[in-house]
Amino acid sequence: MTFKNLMVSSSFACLLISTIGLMAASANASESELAGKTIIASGDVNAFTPEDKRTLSRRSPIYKIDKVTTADDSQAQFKMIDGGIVALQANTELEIASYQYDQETNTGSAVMNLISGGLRTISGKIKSYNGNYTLNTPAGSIGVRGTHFEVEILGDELFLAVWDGAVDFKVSRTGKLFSFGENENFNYAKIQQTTGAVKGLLNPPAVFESGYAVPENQASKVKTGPSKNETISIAVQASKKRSPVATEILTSGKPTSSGVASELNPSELKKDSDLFALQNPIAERVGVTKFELVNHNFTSSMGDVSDANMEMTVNFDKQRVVTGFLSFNDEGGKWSARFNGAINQAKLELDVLNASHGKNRAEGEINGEFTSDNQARGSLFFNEIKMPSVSAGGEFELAE
Amino acid sequence: MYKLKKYWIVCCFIGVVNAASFNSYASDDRQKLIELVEQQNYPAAYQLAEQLFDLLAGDPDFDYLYGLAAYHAGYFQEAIFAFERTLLVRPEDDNARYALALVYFKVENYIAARAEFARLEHTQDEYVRQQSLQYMQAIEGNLQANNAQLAANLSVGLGYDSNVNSGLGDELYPIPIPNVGLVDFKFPEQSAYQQSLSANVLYFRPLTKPGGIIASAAFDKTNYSGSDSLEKANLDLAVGYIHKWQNYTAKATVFYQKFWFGGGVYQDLYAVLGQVNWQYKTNQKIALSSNFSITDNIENDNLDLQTNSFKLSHSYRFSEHKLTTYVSHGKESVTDYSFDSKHYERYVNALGINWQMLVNDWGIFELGYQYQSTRHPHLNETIVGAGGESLFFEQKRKDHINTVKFGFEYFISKQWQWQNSYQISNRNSNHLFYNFDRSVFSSQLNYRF
Repeated sequence: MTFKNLMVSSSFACLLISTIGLMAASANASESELAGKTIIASGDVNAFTPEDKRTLSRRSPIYKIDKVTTADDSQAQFKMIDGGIVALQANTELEIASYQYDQETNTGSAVMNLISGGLRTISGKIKSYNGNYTLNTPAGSIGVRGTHFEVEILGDELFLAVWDGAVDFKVSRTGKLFSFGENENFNYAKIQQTTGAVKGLLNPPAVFESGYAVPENQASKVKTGPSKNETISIAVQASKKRSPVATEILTSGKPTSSGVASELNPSELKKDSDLFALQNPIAERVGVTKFELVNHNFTSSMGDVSDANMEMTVNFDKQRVVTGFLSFNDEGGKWSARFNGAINQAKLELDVLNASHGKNRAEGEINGEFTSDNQARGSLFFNEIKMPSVSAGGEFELAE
Repeated sequence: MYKLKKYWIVCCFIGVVNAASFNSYASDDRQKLIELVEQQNYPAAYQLAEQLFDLLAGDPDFDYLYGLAAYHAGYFQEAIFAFERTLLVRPEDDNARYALALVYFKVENYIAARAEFARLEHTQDEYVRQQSLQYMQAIEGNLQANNAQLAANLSVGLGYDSNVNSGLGDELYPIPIPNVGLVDFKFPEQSAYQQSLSANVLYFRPLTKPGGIIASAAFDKTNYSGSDSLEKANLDLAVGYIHKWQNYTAKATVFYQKFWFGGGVYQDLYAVLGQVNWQYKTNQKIALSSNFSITDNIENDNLDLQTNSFKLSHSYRFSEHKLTTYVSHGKESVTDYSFDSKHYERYVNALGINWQMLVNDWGIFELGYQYQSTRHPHLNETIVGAGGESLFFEQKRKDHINTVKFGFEYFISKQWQWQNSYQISNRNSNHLFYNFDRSVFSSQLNYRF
């Protein structure tokens, strides 16, 4: 056997052994019940069992018996088997005592023990189908009625915030039950662990100020790839020269952002803040602005339309069209109207104050809405009061 | 070895083909997700993003799109987690941070929203920076709303009352005088300039999310030039509890008023007031209020009254206008029913309409009309006719009062307001003593603390 053959054989043997090892580990893990998967892990995030310690990264599973911990400046999010999401703060210890969910019967229950630190969660289907969902803390147990709450232990105090839905808190020391959230007296609470004293709060406690996002001046510590097996990581390094698609395969068997990042880059979309504004394009507008006619297709029963002019002054602070003016000519004379009105969401609710055609009084209506934060479109129709057959109208576009 | 090599090549080929098609599938879906977001079809975008979640969550770009779709589809909680994931990978992404701050704000996590907006104070994006500053101001206001609040006003004013003594005019009226007979009297109208001083303090302390206590104190004093005997003043003290649930607001108040007239204490009034408001549409509200009061008149025990009253009102806001209509009914009973006091009992019915209009940034215009009718169920038998046999007032008293009020408040600044009102009233009574025409103009400067 040459040295080269020896190396190849040794490598193959190593690969075989590590594969067998992996399979064994996998078989071991499958003996425990799957509780969820890591969506993202930033910094030092680990799962402990009595026998094992695993470093968690994206897509790492977590099991019923795990105690999940985060170190300083570390955070993680998990998607649980019932669809619930759990986010862990830095310096947190969370024990997953039980997490069961049967997709076919939609039944299940979850019991988790928060030993230290803080978490925020959206309850999943277990709660949707009235299963038992309990979070035990040193100060008491939280019975979750749904859906989004946050808890943090800080020294002797436990802080609780219900962002959506409601929870019941049973104080360990006194056995008293307090409810918080929707239809309750408070959304926030501070619980003294040693005395069991519960104080409802009207404003969110400052302890929740930090949220679960990394400050802009702090570098990301996200673990993006699987880390159960270093050989895969080596393969990724080796594959860097390959096509992005190959990288995807070797990284995780599923595509990550790297291969299609350019397609997904939100900067290719319209301005991000505009995307937020699209639902109500003027939601962010403030101040007073004048809009003028930039386009129209007005027609009249009395010949060609010319000299069209339309403008409106909008006070976005008050959601009002303060003044509006419209005029255009046809062979019968000048159509003119004044209008004002309100803005409902993006919709213009306009009142025509007076309208005329030549020397005759007219009536009509103007409908429209803001299609962007600096543009409004709509249609109008007017007719003479005495001679309704004399009419004019069409679509218009106003811009800042 | 050759077989093994061949096997690896085949495996890789199959893997690449599978992965390529898989990747292509994911890529197509991502593109579709972008398109759906761009088309503002957020429910569909969210549905698609949910399908892709297990595959792509953790990818900052996907999470950002997921967050956008979730936000617009109304899944704010999910949007928060998504934007936080984006920021865990890209802490410098101002768009994601702004989006996260907005959702925090939406779910009323003002503390976290403020922290994120504050981090955007130095962003290069001027629009985001300006918006962040405005949101931070709004957050301070919202947080303050949950704290105890104190408000106060102080007003000084001048005015003119055309008939301060509710006189009848220059005609002579025959009045029966015991043992004398009918004597002609004149009840001339007396006009006067008035000076007024008003101060009030309002305190509100929320106790729970839906409830809080409210306390207020007010003092008003009006002097009339040349008519010290008509000067009046009142001190009002009130403590109440407000509770909100769904579209309803209930308020219960205990009220005390001390009233001075002509320099001396005239009466004390104790009242319990209850009010329920039903905001059945965003711009329309119905209010039902009721009160029970006891009046202790210091000068005349016959005027010690117990009053029950109800008022039903409807308010309608449209753009910058507010229109309020109301009807009310009350009954005033004397505390000690007697020959001398019974004619003070009366039923009071009223209806009115009030229109307020905000005129741009500079003021409020107000126009109101009220009709009030009072009916006394008992004859006044304390005044007899000249012969001493028949009653001077042979009919039970009925009054009709019409009042029209014009008001205009000019906003000098955030603290200062110039308040003007002109009120014309007319009372027609079948007991001629009580007829009068009156107009009052007042102009006052108000400072809001």
